[in-house]
Amino acid sequence: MLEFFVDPILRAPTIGSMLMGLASGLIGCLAFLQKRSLVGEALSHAAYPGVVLGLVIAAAFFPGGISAAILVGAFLSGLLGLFVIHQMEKRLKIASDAALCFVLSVFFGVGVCIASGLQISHALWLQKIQVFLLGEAATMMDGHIFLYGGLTLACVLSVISLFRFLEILHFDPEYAKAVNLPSKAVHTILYILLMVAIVVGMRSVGVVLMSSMLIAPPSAARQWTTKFSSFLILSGALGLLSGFLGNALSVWSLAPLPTGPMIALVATAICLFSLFFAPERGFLPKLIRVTHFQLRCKQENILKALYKKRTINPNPYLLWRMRTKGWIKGEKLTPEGYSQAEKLVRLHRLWEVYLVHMGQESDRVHHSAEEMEHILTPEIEIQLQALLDNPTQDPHQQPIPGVSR
Amino acid sequence: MTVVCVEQLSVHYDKTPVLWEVDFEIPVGLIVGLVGPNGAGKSTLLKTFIGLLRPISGGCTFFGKPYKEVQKKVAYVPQRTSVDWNFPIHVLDVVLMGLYGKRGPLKWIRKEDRALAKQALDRVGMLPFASRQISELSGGQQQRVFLARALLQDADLLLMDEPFAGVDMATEKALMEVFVQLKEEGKTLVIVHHDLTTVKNHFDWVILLNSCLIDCGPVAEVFTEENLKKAYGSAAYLVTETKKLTRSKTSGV
Amino acid sequence: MRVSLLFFSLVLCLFGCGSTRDTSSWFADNGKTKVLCTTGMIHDIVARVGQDKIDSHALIVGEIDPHSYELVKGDDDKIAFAQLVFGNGLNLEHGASLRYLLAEHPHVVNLGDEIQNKVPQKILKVSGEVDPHVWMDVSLWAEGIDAIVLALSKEDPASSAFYEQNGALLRQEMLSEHSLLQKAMRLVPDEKRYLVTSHDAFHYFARAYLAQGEGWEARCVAPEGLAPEGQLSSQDIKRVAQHLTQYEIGVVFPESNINQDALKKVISCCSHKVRCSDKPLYGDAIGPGDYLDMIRHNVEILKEEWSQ
Repeated sequence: MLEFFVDPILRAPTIGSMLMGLASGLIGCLAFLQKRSLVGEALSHAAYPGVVLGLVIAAAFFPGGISAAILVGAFLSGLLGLFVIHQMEKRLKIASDAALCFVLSVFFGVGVCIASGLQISHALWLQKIQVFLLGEAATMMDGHIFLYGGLTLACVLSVISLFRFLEILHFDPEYAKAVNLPSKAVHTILYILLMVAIVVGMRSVGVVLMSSMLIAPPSAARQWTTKFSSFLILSGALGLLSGFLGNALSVWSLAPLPTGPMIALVATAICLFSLFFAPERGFLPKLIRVTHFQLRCKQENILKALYKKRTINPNPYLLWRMRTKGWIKGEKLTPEGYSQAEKLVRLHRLWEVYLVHMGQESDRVHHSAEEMEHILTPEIEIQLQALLDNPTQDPHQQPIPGVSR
Repeated sequence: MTVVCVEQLSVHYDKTPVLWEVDFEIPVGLIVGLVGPNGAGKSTLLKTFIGLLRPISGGCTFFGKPYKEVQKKVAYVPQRTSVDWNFPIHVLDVVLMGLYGKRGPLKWIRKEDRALAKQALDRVGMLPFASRQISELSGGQQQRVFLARALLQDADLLLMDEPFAGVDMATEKALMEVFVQLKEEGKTLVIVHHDLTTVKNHFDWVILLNSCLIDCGPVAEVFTEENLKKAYGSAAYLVTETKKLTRSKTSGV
Repeated sequence: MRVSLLFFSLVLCLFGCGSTRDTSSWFADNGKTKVLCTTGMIHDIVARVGQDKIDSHALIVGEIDPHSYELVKGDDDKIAFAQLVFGNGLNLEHGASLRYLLAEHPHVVNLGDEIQNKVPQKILKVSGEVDPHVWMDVSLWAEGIDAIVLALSKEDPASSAFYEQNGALLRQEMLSEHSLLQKAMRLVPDEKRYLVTSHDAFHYFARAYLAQGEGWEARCVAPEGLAPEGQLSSQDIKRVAQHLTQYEIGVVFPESNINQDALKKVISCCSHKVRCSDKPLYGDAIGPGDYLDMIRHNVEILKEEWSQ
């Protein structure tokens, strides 16, 4: 594991990818909360013509500074794209997604046009540009670490110092206006940070896949936490992890796999895992909870049927569960089962009384009570009894068991 | 002492005149209800107070000074429609936002600040919910949290836009108790309110508004049938119609 | 509005960036057989065989990468107008648009495929893929002359004797050049004759001129694979760096039309001192001269750098 940080072949790609993951994970949170995650996609594509033009200008006039020129070009081109999006939304009143798509396709198309022109005249330059389309982490050098490290540090420090601004601005924009928070300035800084994150990431994952690193870590992190600070930290950490694992997997794999797409795949896998398995918000735990509730309802219905001495055609699995709970012995109710059934009937009839009290007709209240008997809590039961003055009979003249006078 | 002084205030919103030459004064230490039909300009009036909207003519002062100079003495509790309820934030952190106005957000939160926030939560009866995520609360509970945030701002004038909207009666009662406490501490409250039946119970003074000021003063004097007809009756219909016409003419529809 | 105008003018300017060659003379109706060749290496030997009885035009010139070449404006006219098209085959031209049009043309001769049919045992495979760079071995490229003569004679039977004569002369020239090059390379000591370049274009070259008998695979190693458009992995960098250390190689040779980032990275990670030759080799591009100049140039540079 340590060789990834020490071996001269591996350390630049590894650290570079991790820095990229951290920066994009952190900044992606903010676009995610604004529900404008696709801005990252549009801007990374809008950066492409800047890459091409930066290369062309640098190669023609000052060949030594090609890398710097490409980054600056990408940054400026992205900001131009941002400006166009903003103008389209505010001045021309175009819908947000239409403006994003327009900028994404037009800018990227311009970039591809120029690049294909280079195919004929300067093929070598075209190769340098291709590096930024899908990324090429394997050829990153130590010098890159310092450059990207500096940019990532700037991102992290900005987010930390602007933390309270960001919290207020994203949670309650009206309150932010009311307390004179410099909203416009903070938004501008955020978009600049977004461009910085994209520029840092272009070299490892490329322009095309960059948006995955802006969306997947925050989506994953959101599943695990409900605190803003934890959300930012976890998202950055997941981005960092994706950068490292993607790089490691591309080295450990049997056939040489490209690093950029591996990083994107790892980030997506983490996101899918979080969407499925996160304990509170995950799809599977929710499914389990729902199934559990439905099974409990079915069991409680069987209990009621036994209590009312009706014939039942029970599912042997459900009977087995009820036996393990101690509600029945064989096919008869135990004392615990009996009191549980009594409670259900009591809740059912209390609810019917409540609905009639609220003005419903007595022959229409049964269905709702059938559902509510499984849901009402002891606290609500006490409130109902107090509110309805401890009734002893339901609207159908049936006794309400266990209500004390 | 006059807390709020409004002089010939006219405000346009989206090219439509919303407030016409509104002119009144509010003395200190009262709970004032701002009442009027939909579109009467009540929210617009509060937003103009805190500088979110600029008037076409006229102005307003607070404690004898323009808003910018006494910003820290005024707390504004907006309508809750713009809040992102899925935002990952706990109740205590929402309340702590109230410190922003006084100290700026670049200062770290200290233990004393958290204690103050908890005190404010306790005052509105929400202390047990301090670590809950904001979306887990009911409408009434959320409103109480926002009131706690306003309390933390420690302002002398509180402007609230429909604090009782979508709130159950028990919460409304609890909130009013806090308002009365604040009044006893010498603070002034201006509250936009929509439920005409509770106006007499809640407020000392009433400002009756329908784009122009109908009347302003103690409840018993202002909240009369005659005034209500002017605000809500058939004569008021013309106000809405003319506003619609102005909007279409000025925007070229 | 102003923004969109700016865009439009920018786009128009940029279209001027790409240069277009003047091909009007090739389209002129002068009774000659119109022949289109994909690469410059093919165009050169086809022109030598056909001489003034044909009008030959190369599609992929200069530093353009033939592996990923996609058609540009005017190319489909040329392909449609050509009576005969010579391609390399063996999956060299795998840009989708070019491959499709080549498949559709009624009269295409792929020299690489013809050579494979003639001498299948001489065709190399790298990681299960057929290596298309057959022109790097002059004696093997000479095997394609028969197919050229046959195709040209089919189009113009009256001149078939002419073509055969030219073909025989060319074959002789190429084979003698081949042995000269072999002799030249033998002058470099055996332990120095290990070639590291940008992509796997030099296997045939290594087998023909660097190795003596078996074990030619170790003579030629590169970070990128058969086509230089693939994604690099750190594994590739490691493999080349280990190779450099194992054989104590002191100099690597970039290619004229391939990005040097990979080689630079390999050099920086190597434990001993390695330098990058400042004179690039011609791998997929023919360079300024003709085909034999290209191979000669490569051999010259190798001799020079390895003698230091």
